[in-house]
Amino acid sequence: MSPEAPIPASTASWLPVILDSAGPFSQPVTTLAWVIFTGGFVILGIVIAALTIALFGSPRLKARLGGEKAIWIGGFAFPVVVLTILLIWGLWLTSHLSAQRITGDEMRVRVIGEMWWWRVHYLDENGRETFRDANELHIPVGQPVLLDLQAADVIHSFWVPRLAGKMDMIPGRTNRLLIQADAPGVYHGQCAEYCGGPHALMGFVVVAHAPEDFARWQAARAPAPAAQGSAARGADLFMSSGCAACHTIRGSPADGLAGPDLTHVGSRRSLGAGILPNNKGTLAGWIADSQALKPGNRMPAYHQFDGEELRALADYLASRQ
Amino acid sequence: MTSETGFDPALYARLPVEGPRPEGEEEKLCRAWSAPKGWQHLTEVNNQYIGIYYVGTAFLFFILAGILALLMRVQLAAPLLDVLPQDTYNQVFTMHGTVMMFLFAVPAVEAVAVLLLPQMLGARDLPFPRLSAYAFWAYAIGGLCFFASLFVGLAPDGGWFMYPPLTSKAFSPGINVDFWLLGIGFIEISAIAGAIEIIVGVMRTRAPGMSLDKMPIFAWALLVFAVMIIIAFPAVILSTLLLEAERALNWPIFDVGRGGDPVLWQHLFWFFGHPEVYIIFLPAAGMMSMIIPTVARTELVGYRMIVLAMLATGFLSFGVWAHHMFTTGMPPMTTGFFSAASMAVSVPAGIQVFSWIATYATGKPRFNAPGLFTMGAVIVFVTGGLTGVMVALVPFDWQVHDTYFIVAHLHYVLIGGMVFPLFAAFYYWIPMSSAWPLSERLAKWVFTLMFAGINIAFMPMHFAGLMGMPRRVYTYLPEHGWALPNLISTIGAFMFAAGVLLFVIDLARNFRPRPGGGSAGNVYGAGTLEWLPSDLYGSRSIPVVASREPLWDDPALAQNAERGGYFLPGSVTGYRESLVTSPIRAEPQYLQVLPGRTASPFAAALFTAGFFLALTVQAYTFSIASAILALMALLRWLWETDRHVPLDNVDIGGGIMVPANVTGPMSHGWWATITLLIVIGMIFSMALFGNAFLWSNQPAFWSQPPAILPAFPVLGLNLAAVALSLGARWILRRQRQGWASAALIGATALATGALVLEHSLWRAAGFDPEMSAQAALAYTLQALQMFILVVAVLMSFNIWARVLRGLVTAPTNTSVDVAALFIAYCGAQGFVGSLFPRLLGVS
Amino acid sequence: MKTWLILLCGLVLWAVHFFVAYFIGEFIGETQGPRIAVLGLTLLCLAGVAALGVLLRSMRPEDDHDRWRRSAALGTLAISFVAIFWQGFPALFVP
Repeated sequence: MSPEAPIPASTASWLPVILDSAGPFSQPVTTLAWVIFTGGFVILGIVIAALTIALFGSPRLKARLGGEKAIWIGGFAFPVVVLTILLIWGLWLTSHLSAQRITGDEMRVRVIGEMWWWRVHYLDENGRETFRDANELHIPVGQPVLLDLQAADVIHSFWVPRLAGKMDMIPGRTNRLLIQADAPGVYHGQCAEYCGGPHALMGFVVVAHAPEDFARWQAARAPAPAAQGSAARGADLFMSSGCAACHTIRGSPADGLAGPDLTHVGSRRSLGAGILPNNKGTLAGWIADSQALKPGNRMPAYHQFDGEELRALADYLASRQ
Repeated sequence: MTSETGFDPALYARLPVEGPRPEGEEEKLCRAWSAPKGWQHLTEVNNQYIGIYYVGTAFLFFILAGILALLMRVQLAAPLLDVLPQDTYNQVFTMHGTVMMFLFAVPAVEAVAVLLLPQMLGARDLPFPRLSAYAFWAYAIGGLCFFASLFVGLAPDGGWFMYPPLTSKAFSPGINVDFWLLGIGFIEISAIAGAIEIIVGVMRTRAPGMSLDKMPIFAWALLVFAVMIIIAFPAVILSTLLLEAERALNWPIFDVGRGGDPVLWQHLFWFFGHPEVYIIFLPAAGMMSMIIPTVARTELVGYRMIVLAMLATGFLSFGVWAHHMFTTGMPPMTTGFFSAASMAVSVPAGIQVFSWIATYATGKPRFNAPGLFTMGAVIVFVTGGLTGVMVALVPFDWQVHDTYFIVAHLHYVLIGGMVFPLFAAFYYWIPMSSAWPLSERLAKWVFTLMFAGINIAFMPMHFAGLMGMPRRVYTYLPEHGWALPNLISTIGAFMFAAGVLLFVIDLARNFRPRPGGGSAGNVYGAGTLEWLPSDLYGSRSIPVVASREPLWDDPALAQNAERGGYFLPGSVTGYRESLVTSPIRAEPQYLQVLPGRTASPFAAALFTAGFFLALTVQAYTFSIASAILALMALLRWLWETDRHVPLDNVDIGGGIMVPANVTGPMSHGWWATITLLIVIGMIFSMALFGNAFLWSNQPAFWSQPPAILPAFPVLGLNLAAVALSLGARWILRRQRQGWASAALIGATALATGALVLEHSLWRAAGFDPEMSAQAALAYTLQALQMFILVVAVLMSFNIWARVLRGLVTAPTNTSVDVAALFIAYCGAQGFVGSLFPRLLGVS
Repeated sequence: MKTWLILLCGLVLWAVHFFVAYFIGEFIGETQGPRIAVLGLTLLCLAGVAALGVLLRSMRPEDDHDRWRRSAALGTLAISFVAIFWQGFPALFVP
């Protein structure tokens, strides 16, 4: 299996993901969120208390609420003070978290949203592409990662709640987003801008490794060796049945660009853009009838394969580590 | 006392006139305002009929869109359910949002305005009854056909804000999107027609003495609402036109491959879309401010603060549109402006909430049906407002944008800010136009179910959002842990629906429409004019207003009005009439003769709807036939307007004389024309913004526009058109009707010549609309110009025909005024439209 | 017309400030120059609101309507002042 050390499965926290931040680009927002939730509840309580007094209170208490002075205090002065503080905090945080604060030390990745999956291009420090992957993003912990976000067709939005807020991927533009994970782990993401059809099933994962594991993972990005046995039969089927027209497997004749790069598909944690666990069974099931699993996706169902052929294809793909 | 028009306010002391009324006076009034029979119900234009139809249709759409919501809640009750297939779900959520926003919320408010406003202001009807009839029929026919697209699987599926490129031809090849673009564009026209009506109605048809500081707060709310509509809705009209041009004609306005930009759509859409929220909220807040004083049996505390809060909302809400775009990568300072404005707009909302609380505190609140709904509305709205402040914080919005947290927020705001107030309004005003009031006993159940339902349905959505659930998902995976909050939401949604169902049952049992005044009467003891005893003509006579709650302050008012002691106790001309007053202090200015029943608004609406629908399904022959029929109906309508009344001065009561024929800036027709020109000017300005936006955002695709110097003839012809058109009024003053109409036709011809020349200059410079977004927008400016010039041609030839038939009065005439203003505007727009794109050179 | 000018002057000033600031950000950029321009505009508009406030307070209303108009207008000035003040903040926070 994959060369890297085992990664803890997504941490089972009782907190909702937005409040369970895992990096410096989400942590300050979580703090802000706790403060505004608390403040919001307190203010709601005050308003309900004021309403209760207005409806049921003693004449003395009611008299205090029943004039223009109370309106000026409750409806103008109080909000102005609270909102001034919040606005300053929000503006400071906006500039603090903005991708315009890049230092040049970031690892760089280009992520391109497609209908309904993600192209991932790892870049060197000069922005040149080093290798390609799909639907999964590997990063080292403790290091900021600068993402160049683009869209190939319609608008998508890149969002890993535990690492950073979301950023839209808009055709014709390159938006930039900084993310960072402070602990190894698997972080779920999902497209957040409605992009038609199976938008609901457009997920992905970010895998954060300890630095030495990340180096090992990076070193292992060479294409897997030629397939053996059943997998070799699968390779033949892959090349002869049209799969290669859409998918690239480096080190093989397959060089299609329409669908996800499958060079390392066997090492991925999920299939179908973050919706299925990755094993030979789901691989075979996906090939046979991806339309049942993710209706509307761009890959046709391959009903023509029999069970043995599907097994061979799954063996082949699973061996692409 | 100061006067606005020279009218002496001391004359008000003559009223009410004592003594019996002349024989036959009331019969003549009743004859003019007779009730429709049979088919005449389709041709009736009386606001009390149109208003009831209108409210009923809007409520129908609320029910229909609510059923769609229930379908979605069933699908989402558990992970990976298959109740609604993916494409159906995508159509259903798009239709739910679209129908609620465009076919329920805005029309419901306009409907209530049509029904209540004239009575509340003491007018006999709105100033343009045929226009409100047209607005209603266009909305009802267009809306129902639009909704029916769902049953044939052709409903739009791009989300209610329809972002391209998902909605461009490449990714949405079917006609689903066209249904949205043409259907909504058409219904917006109806909304704008209603808004023009409301502005002129509030400004010019108030009862004498009802100065701005004595206006019912609902009228203030409607005034701000209508002005906001005429500023905001043009943006969506333009954006639907642009996207339809891209889809049908391959004009690449949002296509990045040819210099377009999908973000332009977002700016244009939200420039409409966010004010829309306040457009929905303000009138509902106005209803709250009417109902709460009655419920608390005291006058509204902080009336002037509510007015200033509404004015402030009207402005500030135009500075918040891009807070829907915080995640599009806008730079930090620009997002900051929108964040700051979003905070600022919450201040006036807070002022209104505390005014309501202060009013409860001052009075002795009753816990009747309207009371309960207003109290519930305060709590629900404040909850939504607080989450609204949260999402105005840019970094927090980066997290929760497009998640269920937003779904929860917007439903709290809209249900607390609009639906609850509307239900309060139903309970409160139904006795005014029904034989019986609704059941108070059942109302407690309705309220409890709805209030519990909304909180159980939408509170968990905040958590689903925080747990990472994006909005607009037709299903979700079990491992995310979103199942529990979703199940609770579904239960809450059905509780809410049960409340609405009980309300419908109550309606079926107790609501018996009585245009002209329900016998149920003033059951809550309100103090404003809509509770005067009334008939199809409104109140028998139009009272002098001396305070905000005249019925409370003058117990004899109702009786004096009913026996005809005030203004216009009869019909002077034998037609339907109303009184036009001055805009600030409501001093009587002139007698307006109102149109009676006529088939032209209904026919015009039917055929305009036919035109748009046939266009959508590409039945071009039928479409053209409908367009011609619609045009004929409109011309027939136009022909009947502006008829000279053979009376100069008429006694409107107490010997106070006002003219019956008025032209120029004082007339209500002039006011409506100016309002219409603002609408057209806004559409045009939005197109100019689009030019500048692409120039700034897509410089790589920009090419040098045609030079300015060769365009001088275009500019000159347009200026000449302005001068000649305004000259027509000057010519008419010299009693030359024929020459005046010739001047108008000439002005139109000059402007048309300018457009032809302008077009040829762009063509000669090698610009092709399919080539680049820059060219497409330049030709869009010309297309807009062409459209208004077609109207100008119709108008100027209409004047000519009227001159031939001797219908044009001299030295002044309203039809000529209107045409002159319009054509002069055409020249001005042609001038700017030619100059502006040439100024955006390659830098 | 005069009534509307009195009631809306502060809000009109807010609108001018907002749209000029937005157009500066949208069409010119967010470097130091534009930011200083926004700050200068903010100070100018705040001074404008203050001046309008002084002007309104010096007006002598003749009747109830005019008194009402003046007090409502002073309220809109207060809201406009806060809104313009906030609108200047974003120029201070440079990433």
